[in-house]
Amino acid sequence: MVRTRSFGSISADVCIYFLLGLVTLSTLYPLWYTVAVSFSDSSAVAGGFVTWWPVDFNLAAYHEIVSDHKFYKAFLVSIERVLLGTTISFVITLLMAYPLSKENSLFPGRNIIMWFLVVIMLFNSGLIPWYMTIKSYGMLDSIWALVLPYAVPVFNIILVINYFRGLPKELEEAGLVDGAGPWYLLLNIYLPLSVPVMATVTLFSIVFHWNAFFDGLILMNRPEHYPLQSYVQQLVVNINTTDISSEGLKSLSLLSNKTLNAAKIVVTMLPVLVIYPFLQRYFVHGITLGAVKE
Amino acid sequence: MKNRTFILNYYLMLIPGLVLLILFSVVPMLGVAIAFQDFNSGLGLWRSEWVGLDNFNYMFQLSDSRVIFINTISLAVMKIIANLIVPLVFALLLNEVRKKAFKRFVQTVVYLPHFLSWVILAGILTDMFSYHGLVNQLFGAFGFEPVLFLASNTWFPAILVSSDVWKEFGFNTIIYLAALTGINSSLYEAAAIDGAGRGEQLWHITLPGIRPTIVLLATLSLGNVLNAGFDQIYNMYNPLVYSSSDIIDTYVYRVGLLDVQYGLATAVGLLKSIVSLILIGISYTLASKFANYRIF
Amino acid sequence: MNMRLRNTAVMLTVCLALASGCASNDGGSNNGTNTANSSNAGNTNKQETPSEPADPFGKYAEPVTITIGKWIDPAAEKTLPAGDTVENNQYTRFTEEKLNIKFDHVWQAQGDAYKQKLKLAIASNDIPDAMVVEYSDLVKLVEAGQLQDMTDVYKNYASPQIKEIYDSADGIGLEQATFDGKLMAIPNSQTLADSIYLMWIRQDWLDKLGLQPPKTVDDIAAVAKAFIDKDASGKGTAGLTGSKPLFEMNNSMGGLDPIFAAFHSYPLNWLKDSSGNIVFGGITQETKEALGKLRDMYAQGLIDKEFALRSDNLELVKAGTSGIFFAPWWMGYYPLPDSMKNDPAANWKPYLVPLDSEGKFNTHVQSPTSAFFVMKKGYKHPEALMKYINLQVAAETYADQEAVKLDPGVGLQNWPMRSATTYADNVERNSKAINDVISGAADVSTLNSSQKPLYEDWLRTKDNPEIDFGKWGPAFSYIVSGQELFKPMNKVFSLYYGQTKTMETKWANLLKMQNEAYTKIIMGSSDLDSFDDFVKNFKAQGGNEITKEVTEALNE
Repeated sequence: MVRTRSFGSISADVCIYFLLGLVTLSTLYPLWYTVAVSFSDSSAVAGGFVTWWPVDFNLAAYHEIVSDHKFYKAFLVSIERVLLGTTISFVITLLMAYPLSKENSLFPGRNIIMWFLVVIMLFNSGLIPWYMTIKSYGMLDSIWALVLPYAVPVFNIILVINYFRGLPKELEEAGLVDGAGPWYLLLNIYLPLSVPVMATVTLFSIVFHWNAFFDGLILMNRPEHYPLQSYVQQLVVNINTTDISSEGLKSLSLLSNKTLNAAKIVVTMLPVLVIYPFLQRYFVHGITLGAVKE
Repeated sequence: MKNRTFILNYYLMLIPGLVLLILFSVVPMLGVAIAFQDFNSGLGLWRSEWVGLDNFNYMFQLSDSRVIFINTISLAVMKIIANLIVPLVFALLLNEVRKKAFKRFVQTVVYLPHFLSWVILAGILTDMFSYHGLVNQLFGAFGFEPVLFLASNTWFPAILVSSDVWKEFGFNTIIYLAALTGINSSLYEAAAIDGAGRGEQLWHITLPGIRPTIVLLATLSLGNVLNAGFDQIYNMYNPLVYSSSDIIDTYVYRVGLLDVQYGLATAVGLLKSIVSLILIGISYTLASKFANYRIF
Repeated sequence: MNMRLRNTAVMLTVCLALASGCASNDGGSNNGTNTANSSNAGNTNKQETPSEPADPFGKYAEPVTITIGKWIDPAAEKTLPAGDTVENNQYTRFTEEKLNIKFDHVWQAQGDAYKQKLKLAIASNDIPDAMVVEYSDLVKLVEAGQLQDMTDVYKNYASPQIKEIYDSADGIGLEQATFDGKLMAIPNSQTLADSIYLMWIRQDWLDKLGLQPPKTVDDIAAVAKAFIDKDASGKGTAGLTGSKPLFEMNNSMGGLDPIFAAFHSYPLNWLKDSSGNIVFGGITQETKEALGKLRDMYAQGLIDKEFALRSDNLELVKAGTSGIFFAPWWMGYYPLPDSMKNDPAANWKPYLVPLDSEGKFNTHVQSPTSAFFVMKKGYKHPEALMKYINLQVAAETYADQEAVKLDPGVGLQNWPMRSATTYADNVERNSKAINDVISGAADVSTLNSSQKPLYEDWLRTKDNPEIDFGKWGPAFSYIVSGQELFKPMNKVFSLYYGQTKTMETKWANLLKMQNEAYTKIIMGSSDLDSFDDFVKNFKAQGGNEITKEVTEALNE
């Protein structure tokens, strides 16, 4: 494509690059700030002296992480949660999206089930009934409590349904002529064609399970069973001094360690930041076909 | 009959998911009964005293209720609008960039804040908007008096909206960009031959080309009208700005878990769910009518 | 003083009895269950007691296990020697060895997560055998009939020392834990000094500028102004710190309470006005005056511009840009070491000021009880909890000789269940004992095992704290700032520390309104007369009702 390049066009380009660059920088800053804090001296951080560069550069925080057993444990719990949760969601999403992508005429009852899913997605039962339910299943303090309640991600299913609908009808028809059943069609025709959208919902799933913290705090009975984000959340929340007896006050000086916390945040963010670029390739394609079919 | 076996198999495929949904979503819903009770934990859900609509009546008596509903809707609407326009502008600008590597880099990076939790971001934003923070320093350089952004009922909602956009605009940008690449490039070439400038091309080709996408995203976001962002507001607000920023979710959290008024909190939550459901219904209808699109 | 307190205490009993009476009437059916159970409990105890006198420290022949939800203090956890855990450490072993009582943690959590777990456990009627709860939870639990009546257990099994501790606070805690004439919980007992806020000031700045330590509110304003105008810190000096809640009755740092008190305003206390009516301290004319003063000071830039926004309101202290703040006696633990690390010249001194127009220092005083040990209804050995508390307190105060074998360096929160149960004047006791040794009035041998290390640390670190801030902080706090607590002061107790029926639903909202109104007035976004509107709204939205309930409760 050839375009004539006038002076106006070039200066417009400069403006565009500048603007884009600025916005991009602003999105990088928080990450950079956290990294800077993690490499700084803790007293300097407590006094609020760190803005752009580490003050009194040191690795103390990272040394401490390496020897922190709880951090390791929490890391493992999170990995387990992500693996289990993502696998289960993957299977359920696939199994539900396929029949629900059929027209109501081919699959009577489809619309009713669809609305049922949507109602459930929007309705929030409230914390206490939810907690009591999980408790009555005897799942408190078990990894299943962190996985099974989110096994049916309705939003993701809707994305996949729309993606399936966008696939050419001829494919399935050809399969039908060959006498293939629904399971065969799903696994051998639909699944191989859905890599982008399945990669996308998988990424969603991974990020969701990796970042969730509240349910871990509520449902796990011991800090050793917390997933990583719950563990980190406990470190970064403000310490409420009124809860502490005067003998326990010393804790404040031990705990006001923003540096160590920043280092833990950095380590916590790393896995998602590493995975993201690999899945990003499919991601654009997946979302767009899932949401925008023309 | 072949059709019958197909339908049977469809149901088989749905069973695991439906069972899980019933166990973990439908069963807890019985708990909304609390909204109609003076809940007493010793007696439990079925033996607590039923009080009819008392909790709802009290909710409407509270002077806060109106403020909270208005805040929720106004914040959510502002966020929805900004989240449609900013990514569109950004995508259009990015689309003008011809350096592939730069484009890819920007696209990857702007999506980053999405991965950070509000717990972390709120701390950083509070620093940046503080009295001696980065933003006031920049303002100072242009001769402005420093402003207490986080205490001001004018500025604070603006900060909520803009930081939300800042965190999430990468997502919609990707969708717009995909729609943009879908526009037939021969249209631009023809326009260029006719002597149309960048502006005219934008107005006559680009925007009409992605109009369906804009309409679609707009209707999809309607279901979020009552989700003004709990995590964000909870981590950033303070009593000074309650009057402009206290929303349903933060209120329910405070009243429900901290002040242990289960009945009231559940009632407010229930009302929210019902209104959301109505809004989704509306957006479903609108989407199929104006964008000829079935959301689900 | 004491006379008045005792009267209050008597009134408190009756009012609480009344409040819970109302509550259980509302609940309807649980009234019956309640009485039925307590008579049961009474019977069991009667069968036990006649045979032989109950031994507060008696060891069980068979191990007794109590399930608990454990609040974890991560800092205390760090002090455990290698191999020990919160579930198995010197304190748990000591308890087992002395009493044969074991604790089984059904869950553990810290901070807010602990609160959430506790509230969910209560809401889902699944509480462990024993817990430590705060007052509002206690009320809920009693209403729900989930607790064991501890009346006889306390009568028969509380050690003399425990009874003496409650006496040191005139029994207010016990009264608070009594419902319908029955003791439903064993209250903790905290040291009252935590609610008395001293003025902390940079002595080095005063010296540098040739200023005298301030005495009145106006003096403080003048000194703050001098600090700012002459930029004492050299990096842009700020005025007084403030805090989001403005005032709090327990361990709050950097608030403005003493300035309110200098105007005889106690915004969280229930008081008697000049005509003898019960009134909430937050709506008095004195409070309006105090707010007027604070508003002036804020407008002149003498109070941190952002006090209402900071999540860490001592940031300025640590950064070394603010030289005056109000806080309890224990600042040596935190945050002074941070300030001194960032600025080695920093020399903080506590003073018992500001004085009011008559030259007196006024202060609010918290309830001596902040938490309650409770036992689940129907637990087989309710006296085990009492025995455990006896033992823990005896060990901590070294009334139990064997406790010397416990390493005092291991954080006390590693006791299975711990909420400070100590003398109301514990800080003063320690401070006096150590200072007597320093002045030569007493011999080192008079110090107990918790006081002696403080004394030794002080000798070692007083001239150069930087060699070990961790040791210097506690020593400095007890020895130097503890002395301030002996100066004359007017301690103002609240007439009522409980919770009436209407408070359950409306109080939180009213306090929120109060904080919002005050903050806006001080920061100048509403004018001073908006205080009158606040008072009107406060009364209309439940304030009058609650005042009536409190008055009735106190009059009974």
